[in-house]
Amino acid sequence: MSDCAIPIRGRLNMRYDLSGSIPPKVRFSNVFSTLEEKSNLSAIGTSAVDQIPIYMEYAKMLDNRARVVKFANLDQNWNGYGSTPIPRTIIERTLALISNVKYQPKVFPTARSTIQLEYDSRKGSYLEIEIDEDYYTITQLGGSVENEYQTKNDDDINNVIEEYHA
Amino acid sequence: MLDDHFSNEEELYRAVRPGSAFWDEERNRPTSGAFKDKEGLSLDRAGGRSRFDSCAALTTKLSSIKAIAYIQYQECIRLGLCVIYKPVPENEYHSEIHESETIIKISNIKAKKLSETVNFSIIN
Repeated sequence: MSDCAIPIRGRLNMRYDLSGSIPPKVRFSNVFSTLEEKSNLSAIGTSAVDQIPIYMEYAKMLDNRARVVKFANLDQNWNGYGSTPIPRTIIERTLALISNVKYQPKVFPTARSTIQLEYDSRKGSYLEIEIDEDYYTITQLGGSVENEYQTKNDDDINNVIEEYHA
Repeated sequence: MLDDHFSNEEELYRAVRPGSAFWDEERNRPTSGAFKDKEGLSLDRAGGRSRFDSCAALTTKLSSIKAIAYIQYQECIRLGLCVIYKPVPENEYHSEIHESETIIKISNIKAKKLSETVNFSIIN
C-alpha cells in the first residue's frame, strides 16, 4: 500500500491510498470546521451564506479527487481498445491541480492514458485541459474561437480557468 | 474482406466503456475523452450489417459497456476527419478515424466535435 500526500490550497494535507478503490482518509464532517479554522474566512468578514459556494466547490473537489484516485485502478486495455493504465505521475499532477483551482471541473480519463478537466458551464463555451506527464493541452471552443495549444506552465492553467469564469 | 469504399450513410460504431468513466452524467453524453486515442481511433464499420447486429456484436465482444456511439461516414467527413478501412485478423469490420490523410492522432478540437456529433444507444 502506498500513500500520496497532496497539499490542499496550500493549507491542508490529506493522505490518499492510490492502490485502493476509494480514498480519502478524511472525514467529511471535519471538512467544514477544518475549512473555517484553516481558511480564515471568518477573519475577512465573509458571512455564512456567502461561504456556501466555497463549501460547495470544496465538496466538488473532494468528489473529483476520489474520482481521480479511482483512475489509478484502470488496467491494461481498460477501454477495450488497447488503452494503457494512466501513469501515476498524471494521477498525482491531476490531484495537485484540482486541489488548487478555484472552480472545480468535470474530470475524465482519456483513451490516450491522460486525464482531462472540462469546463462547460458557460453556454456555447468550452474549456478543456488535458494533463499529460510533462505538459498540458488547452482546448478552447466557443463562438468563432477554436484554440488548441500546449503549455508546461502551471500559471497558464490558472489563468485560462479564471478567464473562462470571468 | 469488405470494400474499401464507404457509402455516405454507412455507420461506424465505438463502444463507450468502462461504466461511466467516459460519461458526462450532467449532459447525458459521452465525453471527448472516449474519442481520443494514442493512434487512430478504432471503430467497427457497419459493412452491410444492421445497426442492431453491429451493436450486438460489440456487446458480445466487450463487457461493462455504458453506450455504443455511432456516426455516419459523411458526418466524419463534414468534421474534416479521415475514415480508413483497416481490417485485422480478428475483426473484418475494424476501421480507424484519423485527423486527416497525413495526421493520425485526432486533435482535441475534433475529438470534442466528434463527441458532440455522435449518436448513441445506452446499453447500461
